[in-house]
Amino acid sequence: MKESLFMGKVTAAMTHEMKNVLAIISEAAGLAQDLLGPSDESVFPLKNRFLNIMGKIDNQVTRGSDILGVLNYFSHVPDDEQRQENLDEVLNQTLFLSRKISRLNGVDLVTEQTDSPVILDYNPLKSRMLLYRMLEFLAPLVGKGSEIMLRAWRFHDGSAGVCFTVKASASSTFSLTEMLNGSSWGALETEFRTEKASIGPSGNNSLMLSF
Amino acid sequence: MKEFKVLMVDDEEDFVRTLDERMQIRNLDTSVALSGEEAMKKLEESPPDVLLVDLKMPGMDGMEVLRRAREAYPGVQVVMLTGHGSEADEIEARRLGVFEYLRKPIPLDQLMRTLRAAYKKKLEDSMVAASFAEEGDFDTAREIMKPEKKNK
Repeated sequence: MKESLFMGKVTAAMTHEMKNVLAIISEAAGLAQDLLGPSDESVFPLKNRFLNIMGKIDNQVTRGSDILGVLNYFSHVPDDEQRQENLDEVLNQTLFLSRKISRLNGVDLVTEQTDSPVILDYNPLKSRMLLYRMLEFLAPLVGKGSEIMLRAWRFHDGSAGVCFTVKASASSTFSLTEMLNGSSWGALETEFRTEKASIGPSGNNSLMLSF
Repeated sequence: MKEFKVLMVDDEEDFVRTLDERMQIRNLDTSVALSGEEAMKKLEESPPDVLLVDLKMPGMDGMEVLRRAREAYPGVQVVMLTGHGSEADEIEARRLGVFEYLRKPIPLDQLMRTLRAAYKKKLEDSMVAASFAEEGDFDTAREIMKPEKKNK
């Protein structure tokens, strides 16, 4: 716990520093655009190319800023050992942090928002870790072109969970339960049990994670 | 004729100098302070219409600049622009009477809109206070200019 708090504190400070870096890049690119603005192409033939490059810098500053916003939020996650959270928001943040898993495996990760909020009362760092682990496990298994949809779930006893539904790519058909048999599913189940969570199949193409 | 006067306070010199140049292109009368202490001196010499201040700075930080500025120069509207802000900082800044609390990096158009709105608020407050003062109601005039009355 102390270690994750330390990691979070340092990461948070660094995200703040990076925001200052992005602000300087953004203003410098903006100033270059301002200075180029009044000139025409007879004075500066490369004006449009330069403006195009400045536009790319702007887009990347926005992208970097969004990433840092999520990373900063994530760095504060270990601040509480347990707290109540809207599970839809947890899913959205986790998917943002899992973009690399999505990109490397060619798998779309999407969420389906619930009509009314499902509240999760759990260790916020562990909930994200378990969701990330599930995606890390499932994405290479389901294969390129597939989609994994996450939906917050409320059980009859009031506890919360997440349903992972896999949609195969148009060119492939598969059964998730069959795929799990040939994988390290057993080890993953054990890993989740030690965190007081459980996972199990829920129909042919869905898995349920219960916190 | 410049639109209005802005004092920008930030210890990130590359940032604030570049922003200064962009604001001048947009016809604002701007000046720069690289610390809270320097900002207080400049406020004393010539108070701006709007103070744009960073939060985390060595020495006197932005929150202290905000507190002192709102006490000593209630007519000056303060906009905070920070890369370091937490929710608690924002709540505290609003309690102290900040006009707006913004996070870096920010598109210049959005910053300009906020600065113009802050200037408009300054003019409105001054006019309302002046009308009470004209009627001889100096207590109400002073009350209007108090920072607590300007919390958002």
